[in-house]
Amino acid sequence: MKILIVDDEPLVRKSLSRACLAKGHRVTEAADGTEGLAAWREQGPDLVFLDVLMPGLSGPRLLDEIGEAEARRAVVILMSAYSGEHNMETAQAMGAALFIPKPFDDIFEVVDKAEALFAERSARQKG
Amino acid sequence: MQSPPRILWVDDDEDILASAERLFRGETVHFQAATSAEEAKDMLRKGIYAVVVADQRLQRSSGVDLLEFAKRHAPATTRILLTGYVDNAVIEEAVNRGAVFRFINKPWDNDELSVDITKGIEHHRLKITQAGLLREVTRQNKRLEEMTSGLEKLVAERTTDAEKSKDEAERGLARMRDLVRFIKDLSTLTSIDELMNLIAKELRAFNTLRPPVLGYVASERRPMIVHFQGKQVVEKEMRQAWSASVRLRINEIDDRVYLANEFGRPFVKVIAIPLKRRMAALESEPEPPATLFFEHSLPDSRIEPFLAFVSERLQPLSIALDRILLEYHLKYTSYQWESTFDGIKDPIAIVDVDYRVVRANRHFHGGSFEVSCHRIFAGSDTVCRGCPAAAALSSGVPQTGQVRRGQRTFQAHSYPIRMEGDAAVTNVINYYVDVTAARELHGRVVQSEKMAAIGLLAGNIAHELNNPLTGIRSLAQVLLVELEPDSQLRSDVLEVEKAAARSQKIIENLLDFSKGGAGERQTRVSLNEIVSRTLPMLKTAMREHRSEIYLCEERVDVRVEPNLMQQVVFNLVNNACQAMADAGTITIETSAAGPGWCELRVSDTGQGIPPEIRDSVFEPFFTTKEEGKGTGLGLSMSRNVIEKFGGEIHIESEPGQGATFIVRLPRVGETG
Repeated sequence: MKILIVDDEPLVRKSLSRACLAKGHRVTEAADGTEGLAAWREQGPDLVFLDVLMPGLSGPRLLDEIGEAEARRAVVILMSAYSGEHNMETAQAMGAALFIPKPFDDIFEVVDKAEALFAERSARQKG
Repeated sequence: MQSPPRILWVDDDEDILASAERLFRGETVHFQAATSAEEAKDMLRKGIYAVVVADQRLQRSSGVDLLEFAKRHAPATTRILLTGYVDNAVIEEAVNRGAVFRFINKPWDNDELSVDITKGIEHHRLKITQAGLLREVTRQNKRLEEMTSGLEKLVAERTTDAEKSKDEAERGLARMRDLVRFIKDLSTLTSIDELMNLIAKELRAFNTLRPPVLGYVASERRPMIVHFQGKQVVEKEMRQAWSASVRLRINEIDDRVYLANEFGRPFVKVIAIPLKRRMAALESEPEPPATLFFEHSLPDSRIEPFLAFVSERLQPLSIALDRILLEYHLKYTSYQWESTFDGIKDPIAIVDVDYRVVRANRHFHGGSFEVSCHRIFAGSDTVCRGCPAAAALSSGVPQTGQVRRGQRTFQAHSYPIRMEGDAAVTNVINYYVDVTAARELHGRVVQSEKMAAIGLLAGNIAHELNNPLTGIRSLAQVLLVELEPDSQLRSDVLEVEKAAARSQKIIENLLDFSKGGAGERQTRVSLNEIVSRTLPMLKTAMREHRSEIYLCEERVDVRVEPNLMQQVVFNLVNNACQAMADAGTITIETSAAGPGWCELRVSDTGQGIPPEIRDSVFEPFFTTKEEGKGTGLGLSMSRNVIEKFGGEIHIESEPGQGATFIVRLPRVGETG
């Protein structure tokens, strides 16, 4: 699948991207919200890892910009180190499928979850 | 030098006597005890006592009876009644019989008791002075009498030739003698009871006259009626006052109705004689005049002589009543002031230039006047540090300062007293307000604001660190997968991953810790876990010392607010580290301590805590650290927290051998 990673922390991007590539996915990285918005529009990803707090455009604002229809076409996973501000509920209200607090305990677990969500979505769309 | 005032204490309980005796040991009073009313009566007959204290429950007698005996045989002695409980009936009886100066409830408060005794001694002194004045008046009256008898002789000489006029003159003289005697008797009266008895006695000749009834207006405009009940004089407050008329009234219906209503029986004939009170006339609002009522069945022919007899005596009678009521009033107002000041919970004292206490209220402690205020207030032989009295005396304007008594802090206000316009100030009123609680509260607010600020800062930093940490750990995990299993790099990357995991845990703890306790719920948590989660944050503090940690193998759970409990552990370990100037050993130990309890012990190998300050270390603001190093709130906060969880904290320490802080907490679910 086509995966877009939007996070201003290079090491997070790098590790996520390496873990996804290792599982055979195509990966695009974006270093902030604006870049992420452009990449999203250009490529129409199947799955997006989206950080909440970023300089310029934040994760939730990016979702606003892209519009609900487009946002629903992809599986969005919202990630944040500031767990107090967002949770599963607020993330789903924004159209995201999952909220993952940072730091991760195991990055492969995160990728596994993303794959499972995508498979679930595909099965539903087919059925 | 006067001999010390003597106190007679009457109680049939030897233990009470012994403890009373202990109280006066070393004081400048002479204490004497009696174990029975008989013994006490004998002593009262033979000696002069300033104060007699009697227990209400004496074998074969009551305290009130004994005090009444004292009133008759040693009227100047101040009478104090000791009651085992607040017995209204006893108090009422004692008041009615006028026998008692003060009541003291058993068990007594030593400070209050000594205030009462001191006041009793003072009262006695006043009485003695008063008696001296009375003796003076009597002496003058005697001279008056002598003059009268001289006059008598003169008249006798001049009237030898006229028998008839001599008879008349003798009658006149007898009348005058009676009058002089009456005036003299009046001048020695000290109470309305005595006045009533004197009037009754004086009017005995008019045999169809009933004993007098006196109406007067007491303090706070209470209309009072005094009358005889058998031989007793009794007084009662009326619902309403009698006629306001200042006329002499003979058999008027209004007076009969008034008395009949108030006494609940018919009055047939009443003569009402208003007594003009000069002092009362000075007051702004008019009051009904004091009035003497006589119920009588005098024949009309006897009314005239009766009125003549009374009118001759009316003016001195009015003056005597005036004087007695004025004394009552003064006593009442001074009592009012006294009880007002005693009612104030803050200590107040009037102090002179030499720091001697002139007067003081009950809460200033101690009853011995003419001792320095600092001795009474703070138990110190030197002036309290921060006392504003000297500045108030020299500047003549009110001053404020902070003084300490033991562990408590007082805001002291000194108000200079100026007797005359521009005279020098020789006295100040010292008014002390306990501000310990306010200061403590302030300190807590500061502390909690500080904690909140630190928490916020730590929270922000922790979150900021979380981002790169996520990357580091995740990348290490990716590398571990990508690297060849036998690669040299692999073990290095594994180290990176582990270090990142550890950092993550520390940050998580820090976030928990800094959340603060407000509103957090008490939860069941393992004591060991609390300790192990706190220790990483203490690494810096413990760096210089050797640490020995013994966590019990058995799981012990406590019900606490984990963050607060962590703060306590942090405080205790941090204190232990700071207590050791050189490198030492810090020991942290958890254990199950008997059924239902567990213990956390934190020991250091520092100087130890001297016994004299062992209780103080838990007081707020107590600190032995340099300015700026400690807030003095750490241990007091710890104690509050532990007590909140139903536990306790105490210290074991040998000077030079270090100290151990022991926290005991109730253990939950022992089977777990």
